[in-house]
Amino acid sequence: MSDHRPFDHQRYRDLIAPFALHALDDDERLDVADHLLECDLCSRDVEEMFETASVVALSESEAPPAALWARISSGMNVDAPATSASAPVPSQPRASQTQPSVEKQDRPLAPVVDLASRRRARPLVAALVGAAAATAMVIPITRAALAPSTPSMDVSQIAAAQEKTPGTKRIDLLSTDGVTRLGDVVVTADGRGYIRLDNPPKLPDDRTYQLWTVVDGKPVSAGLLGTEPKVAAFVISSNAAAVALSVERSTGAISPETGPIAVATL
Amino acid sequence: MMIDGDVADNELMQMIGHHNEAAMAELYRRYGGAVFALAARILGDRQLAEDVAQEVFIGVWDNAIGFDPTRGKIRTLLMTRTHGRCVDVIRSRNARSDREGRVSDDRSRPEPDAIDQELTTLTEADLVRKAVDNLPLEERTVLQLAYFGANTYREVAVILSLPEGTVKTRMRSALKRLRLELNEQFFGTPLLPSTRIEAEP
Repeated sequence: MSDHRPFDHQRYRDLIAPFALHALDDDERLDVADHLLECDLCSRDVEEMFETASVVALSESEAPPAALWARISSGMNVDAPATSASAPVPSQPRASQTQPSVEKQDRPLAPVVDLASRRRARPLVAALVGAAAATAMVIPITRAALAPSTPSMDVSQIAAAQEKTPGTKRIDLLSTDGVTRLGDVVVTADGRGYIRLDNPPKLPDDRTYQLWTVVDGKPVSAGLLGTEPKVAAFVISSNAAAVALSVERSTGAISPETGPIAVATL
Repeated sequence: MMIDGDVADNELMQMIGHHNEAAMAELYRRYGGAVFALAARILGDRQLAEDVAQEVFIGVWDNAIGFDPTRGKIRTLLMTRTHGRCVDVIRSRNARSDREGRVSDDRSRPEPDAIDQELTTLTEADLVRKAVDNLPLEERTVLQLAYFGANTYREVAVILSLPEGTVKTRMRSALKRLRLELNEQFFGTPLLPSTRIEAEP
């Protein structure tokens, strides 16, 4: 059982699900892995979550290319002695910090290092510890998942009601040349925001409107709006200077990959 | 030599540990489609997905002799290894420009001998898709951004403009809910006491 203090244990416990989804930064991932060496409770928890996540993977299934098996079988060295390693070795962390970006065609896979050898963790946990560094910038996500959770009419009504609240501002959302009005933004005194768009062009399925607030000169994502948004709610910092709208890949972006198409200066 | 399709995964792994190629072929028949499809979904690049799938299966071939079934299922190991490897690849490159339009438009038709495999796995895939679709939208979004998007929970929080604690809780709740939903079909094990859905902070 862990000798970590209860507070630490709870902190680690909160990180178990991101760990099982390979959704931790490197430092946290290694920190959690160390905790798992000592904590049977968390180890059982993460094993179960790894198992569940592996089933999520089964939602994707298709016949692999015919040539794949030929590639695999040609790489099966029948003369080499079978090793005594317990499982396929886990992946090298921090790959992005040590390797430059590489082009698609000949990019090598990141090196593989056996972390299990330095661990005395529950074996499956040690075998499954993987994933790497933290520069992921692309986010595939289904359109359904991007749909606002609140029906548009409700948000629209709320926005209209908020307009009449003292301290609320309404600002036109203008094209970047300042000529065309594309909608407006309603910002309340307690940091709620609403964007209302006037029939924006429907985007192809591989694109999405993405909303940004500009804080200290930097864009901060305020959410993905989908291909044909009308109205949406968002949270806005009190020191935000502007709200901007851009068109991004359907996967969204951590920072804008395209220039804004509309801006509301607060 | 052909391997009976009823042979348990654990027996297959024992045979693969002794470098039985037919057993390896059977393992590939069972899981090759899922491994490749997961890699293709995450990477958006079928060629790179083949690279990852090859690496994963060769890893099994080289290390199967030490596989201990009490430690977990081979399916868990294969899919977790595949997912982790894809996350490594995604995070070690700036692939934004590579991904566009590469996911679905070059899908080749299944080879005739692969059709059985695809039909076999479709039922499972449907079950899982249904379970994922039944998740609350906010949990499903977080799960998809993390699992298929290779994003850290911090990145998910930025994208969705949510507190990091909320994202972590939703990840946990999503996995727990799926566990409950799919336990009978996929796990068949007593649920841990911790398998309960918790309120968001």
